[in-house]
Amino acid sequence: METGWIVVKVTKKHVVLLNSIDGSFKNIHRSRTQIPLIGERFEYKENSKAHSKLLKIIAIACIFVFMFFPFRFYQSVNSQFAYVVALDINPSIEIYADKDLNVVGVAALNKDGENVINNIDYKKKSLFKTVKLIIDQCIQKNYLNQDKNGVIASTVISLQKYDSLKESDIKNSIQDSLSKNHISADINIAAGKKELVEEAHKSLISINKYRIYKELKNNGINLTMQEVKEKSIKELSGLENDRNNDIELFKKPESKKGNENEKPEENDYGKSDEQGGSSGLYKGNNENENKSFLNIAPDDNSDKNLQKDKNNGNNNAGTAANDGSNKIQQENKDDNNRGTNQNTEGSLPSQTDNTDMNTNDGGNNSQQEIKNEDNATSHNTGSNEHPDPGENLDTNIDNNNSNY
Amino acid sequence: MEESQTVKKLLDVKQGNEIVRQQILNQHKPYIINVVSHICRKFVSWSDEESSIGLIAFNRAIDTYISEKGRTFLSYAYYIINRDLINYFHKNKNDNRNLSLDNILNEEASAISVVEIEKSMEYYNKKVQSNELIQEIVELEQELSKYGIQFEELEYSSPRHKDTKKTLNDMVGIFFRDKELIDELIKKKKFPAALFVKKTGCPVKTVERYRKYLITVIVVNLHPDWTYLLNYMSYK
Repeated sequence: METGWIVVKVTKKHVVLLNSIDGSFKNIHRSRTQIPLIGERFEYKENSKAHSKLLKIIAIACIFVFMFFPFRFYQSVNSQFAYVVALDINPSIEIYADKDLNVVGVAALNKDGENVINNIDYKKKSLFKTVKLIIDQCIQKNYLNQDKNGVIASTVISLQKYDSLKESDIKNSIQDSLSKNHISADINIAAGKKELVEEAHKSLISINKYRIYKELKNNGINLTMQEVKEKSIKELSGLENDRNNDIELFKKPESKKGNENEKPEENDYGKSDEQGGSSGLYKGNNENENKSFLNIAPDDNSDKNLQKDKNNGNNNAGTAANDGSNKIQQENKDDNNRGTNQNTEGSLPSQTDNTDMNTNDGGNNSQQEIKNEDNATSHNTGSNEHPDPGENLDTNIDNNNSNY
Repeated sequence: MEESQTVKKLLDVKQGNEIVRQQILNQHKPYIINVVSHICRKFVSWSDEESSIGLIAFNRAIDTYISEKGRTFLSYAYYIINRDLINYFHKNKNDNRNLSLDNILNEEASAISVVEIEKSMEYYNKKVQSNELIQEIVELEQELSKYGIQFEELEYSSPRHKDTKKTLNDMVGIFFRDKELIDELIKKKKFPAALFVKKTGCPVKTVERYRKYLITVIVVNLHPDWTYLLNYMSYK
């Protein structure tokens, strides 16, 4: 084994070697008891293989470390952002707060938002105080007033593991500001996950719009991103309300909910109708009644059925015009909305509308009345309360007839 | 240094030349320390008792060495040092001492058989490349100390790459062709850097970086009797 190294000296720490091939010198670390004789042949391999292997392992380890490093770095840069509260009225604003709920940054997503935050000193203020200031400004700048039925949408998101911020706290802040200024408005507030922030920013829409878009989607209302961008918060929020009301109605056949089924958009109405027909959301009695209403009945009633369908269509068209007032009526009677505050507007106007409707469809009513009587036992029990959507028109008319 | 030269010197000493004795002793001090350390399996310094035993033993070897076939002075010296150290250990009955393997064979220190001598030297000869080489190394170390160079300092100055090696070789070649440079070196025991740079145009940085190694190579090449070392470090 000619490795060519010769010992020339032994020091406290090293063995000094001379290479018999190229005449170079080398110092090798030695153990305490390892004391070779001068002139001794020394077996020493450069161990380049072991070196390069170790280097490779170290290199890979470094890569792993650096893979995690940027993540941590990113976190530390944004660690001051513990929460984000998005507010949309017309002005669209995002408030960033640290874990102690102090505002560290504010962003405006539109001109109106800019208009508002430029007039606010939010530096070192608490999150709640800032929310109030923003609402105050919006009122001052007339984005919210007594006449308009404003909608304030808000989403509360925790960006990190902190969870001391609750929606109700923000809601209270908003309400405080509203009541102080004697303004009423709907508040559409919910909590959101941090992924919402990214997704909303990616789609170039506000967090609130994105949240509502997602919620509508979950309930079967699919809007395109373009539609979402074009609609106002008020419109989107409105869609949500109607949708939620429908769901509530579908779920609880005997609940005291609004009995009109009108919606602002025809397509939505159409969809809900389909859902009614498919009985996906119906339970119990409702199902049977719907089937009799829409499906092919025994022969002797076939004509009636067809006519009923027609009537439904007509009624729908007729009542579509009255959607606004009917909606209000619904809201008035609606006890458990999804956290939305209701306006107190008189119900008188709506009722007159209903009577108008009745006169239009007088002829049909009689037929429908017959139908209703057939199912009297199961149906009438619910007549005083709010019946199913499938029966809405009929029973509405009946009720109205009986009431007025 | 050839064995014959060593023998001559030893004869000189036997005839009473104490100066030569001192010379030999001084020259071999690092060697003695190395052998003692090796036998004791620990790093021994001149303040330790073992080292003085070794020195005394080496001195005795100078006096008692008889040139025979198959026996070189250094291997003989090794044997003597070994024997004396074993005696010392036995006397002190110090069981903690680590002895080299072959010493374990010696139960009775007093009985020095021929076999034991042979075994001891056999071991030694196996280990070392050549006694002459050892002698050369010993002498080189001594010579370099005059230039203020120690072996352990040479690693840094040693060329790693083939190219550098070639460059340095050329430089030494140039050096040897110039008598003035050699004289300067030997006289002042320093590398005549300024002069060298002036004569060759070599960059000062290179000269400074490899200075100590250059001196070593030059010194080796100045001793044609160091056959082994020349084998490794000739510039030609």
